[in-house]
Amino acid sequence: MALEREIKFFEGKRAEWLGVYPNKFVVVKGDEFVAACDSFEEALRVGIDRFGNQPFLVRQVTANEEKVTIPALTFGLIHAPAPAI
Amino acid sequence: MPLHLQYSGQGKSPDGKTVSIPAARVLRVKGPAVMVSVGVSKEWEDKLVATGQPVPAPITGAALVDTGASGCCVDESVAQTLGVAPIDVVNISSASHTASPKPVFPVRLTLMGTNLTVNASRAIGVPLQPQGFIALLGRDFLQRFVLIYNGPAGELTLAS
Repeated sequence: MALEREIKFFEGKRAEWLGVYPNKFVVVKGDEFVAACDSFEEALRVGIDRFGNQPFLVRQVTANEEKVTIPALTFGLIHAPAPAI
Repeated sequence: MPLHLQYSGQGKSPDGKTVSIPAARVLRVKGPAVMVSVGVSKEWEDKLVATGQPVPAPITGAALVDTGASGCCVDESVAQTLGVAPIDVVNISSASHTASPKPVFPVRLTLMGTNLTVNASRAIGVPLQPQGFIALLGRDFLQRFVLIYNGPAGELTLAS
């Protein structure tokens, strides 16, 4: 899985970073903390400037991840055969 | 400039004649689909331009407006074609799997025929093209717009 190492590093640091970078957007590459930024766009720019088109993690430092729900995928609706009109 | 669509379609009558299908029925059966172009993020485009590299041409196709989706999705092959690297991974449940990790891509979505462009900073890469779509427009996209779904008239309006 892409970014497995970065996500593991982030999860290991989440509690600590909640104290120092609450709600900031952090950039992580491998086991390296790169930056904590005020906006997603700024974090993305920092990551691109540093790593170009290589995968890097951008995540907001919050206590819990915002839940992603895509019912059309969860229930397979998007893959159901299209009905005839 | 808002996007205003009235859907249309044609079918065959029992005697083989081509007939128009009511707009309301087309919208109900096919869903609120719009044409979009998917391109690289503004940040990546700026970097490419600054370093003298070509910017990948946006990819055009149909997107489904999905008010049930919390976030946008982009067909994973589109992200690969654009050469966009993932910036996160999220777990998405599907009908066939309890949960599977899916990459998150920063892309830019433009509603064709308008000047409405949105940075979809966390678009989830999933296979959509088997259904004829290149993107799902979820609530992180729709939060920027007024959406009018006019079922009886078979019309859809998106305005900023």
